[in-house]
Amino acid sequence: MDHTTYMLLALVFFVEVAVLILQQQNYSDTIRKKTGAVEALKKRLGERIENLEQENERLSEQIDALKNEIEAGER
Amino acid sequence: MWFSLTICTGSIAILVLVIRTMRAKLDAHLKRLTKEQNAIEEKYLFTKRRNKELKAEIAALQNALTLISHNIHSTASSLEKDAAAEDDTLLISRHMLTKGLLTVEQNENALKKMETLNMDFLGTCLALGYIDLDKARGVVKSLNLHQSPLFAEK
Repeated sequence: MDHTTYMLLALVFFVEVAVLILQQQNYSDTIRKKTGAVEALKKRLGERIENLEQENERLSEQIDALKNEIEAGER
Repeated sequence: MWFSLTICTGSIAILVLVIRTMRAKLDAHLKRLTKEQNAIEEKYLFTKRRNKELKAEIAALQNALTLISHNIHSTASSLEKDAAAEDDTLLISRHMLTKGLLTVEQNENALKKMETLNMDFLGTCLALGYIDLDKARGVVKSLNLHQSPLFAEK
């Protein structure tokens, strides 16, 4: 192999490495964005879900109390 | 020359393979994240729906409770009215016996006929002809019976 062939092979190698690095960065960026969005959603909805669950618990107790009151009233 | 071409082709094939593997991993990761997102959204919607249902149930129960308490009050007030009417009847009957407007027999007969005629004591006495209208008005006036229909009449 002569000098030019070596040069060509080295060029191909560098181009391939560059493509790989770009792809990796692109994929990492996509994953980071998506993870961030999901985490933000989890945080936002998590608080709301917690509040709603607490409210639901309170409402269930209220329903039980009302049912008891109605039963007592019917008697 | 052929050797270098083979190396180039081989390295490009490896590059494509590596990129495909990376893409598959990325897709799997994105799928997992989307699944997580959907799960939390579903949980939120479920909790919200449950909250709505519970609120609607509470409203229905409160309505039922209000109806029940109204029934109890109306029953109690009708009982009170009945008791008041009974008291008036006894009062009028005693007053008329004391004043000699009715005999004991007439009094008992009027008390018996009250339910059949569906009238108050004075009305029954009037209907049976034991007393006239003026006497009835006099009784109403002397006992101060505001609720009697004869009270307002002149």
